[in-house]
Amino acid sequence: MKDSTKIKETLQKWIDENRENLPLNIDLWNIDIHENIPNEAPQKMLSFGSYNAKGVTTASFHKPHSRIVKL
Amino acid sequence: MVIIQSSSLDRSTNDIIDWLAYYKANYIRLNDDYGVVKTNITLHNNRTFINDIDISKCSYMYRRGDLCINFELQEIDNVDKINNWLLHEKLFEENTAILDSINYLFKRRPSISHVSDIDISKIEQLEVANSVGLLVPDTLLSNDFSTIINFLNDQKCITKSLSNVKIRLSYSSDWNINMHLTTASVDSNDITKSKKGLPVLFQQYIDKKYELRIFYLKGQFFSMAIFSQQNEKTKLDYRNYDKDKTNRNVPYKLPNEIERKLDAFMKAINMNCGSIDMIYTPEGKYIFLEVNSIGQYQWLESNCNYSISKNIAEMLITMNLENERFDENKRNSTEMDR
Repeated sequence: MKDSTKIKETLQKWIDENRENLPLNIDLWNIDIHENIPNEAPQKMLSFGSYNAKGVTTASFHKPHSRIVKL
Repeated sequence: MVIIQSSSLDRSTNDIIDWLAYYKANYIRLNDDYGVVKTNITLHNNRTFINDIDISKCSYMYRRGDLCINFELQEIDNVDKINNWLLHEKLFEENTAILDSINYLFKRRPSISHVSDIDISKIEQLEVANSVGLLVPDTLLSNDFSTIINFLNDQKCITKSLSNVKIRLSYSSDWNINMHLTTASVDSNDITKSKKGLPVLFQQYIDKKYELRIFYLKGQFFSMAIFSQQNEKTKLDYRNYDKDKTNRNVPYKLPNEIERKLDAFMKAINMNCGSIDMIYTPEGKYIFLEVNSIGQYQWLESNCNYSISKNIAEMLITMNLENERFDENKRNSTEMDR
């Protein structure tokens, strides 16, 4: 049996055994099982110095409004 | 000095900083990894320093995140793990109280938003909205099975999380589990398995002509209509985004009466900034859903050409200048008294 299916079954069993201590709408919750892929290269975090900010990308075609509008 | 408390990943703060830099304003950004190392709070002369920042002379905006006090403790020899953990927890509570004091002092500054705005519950919001004359969906928060069944049988309903809870678990080194509840349509068949359980929020499902996202900023309204009904994915809640087929979003002018009621609502819950979600029904009614103190507004700016970041920057600068003028007048009147 595929691992993710087995994990889902384990979770479902846990939900069924603990229903009284879980929200009444537990059956409507989204449950996603993700595999850790070890070969995935970690995303490089960029540092935007003057903003004291970080991010993996900038907004595309970003030009600060203050540079566009001549007031 | 303008202080913005945010997260290092929050892009909307970058836009505000663009304008602060344009106006050559002094500013500091405190991100959620900002550790408070040194504190000097003296109440008798009203001076407050966090690290070396004088926050007694600033205007302030809360955007996201929490301040923190980092500390690492070694375990006490001959004391068991549970008691060492209790020691850590009690010291953590003390640090939390210190940060609460700093947050309180920020709240006293001329400011836009505050961290305590996040704590206003959905139920309180709905009750206050109703009290100022806004229409709200029928709402039930209950774990009484028969009451819930009657509510669900009376009308079409949705259910959602009160706190937008998202659970991330590491199941093993190879597998992770994510659990969360988005707004979901619900009927009595969905809860018959769980006749007993924790209370849950149910609301009347309201038919929509379109949805509204409104950014409120100290009495100003920046509104956008979201045409979410043509897409099954976004029909129930526009936040179930369809990135391949995005909804049409356009600038919108609310009727004066609705703006007046929303303004009264924001004042009643003591919030001066937030993102409000509403529904416009096919019958022409405006239904209030909720307000989010840290909601995103960049998409309103780009879809509707609103200058929200510019307005925020100008407000922060103006509040700071007024603060400095007040201090100077106070100093001058003190000297004249001598």
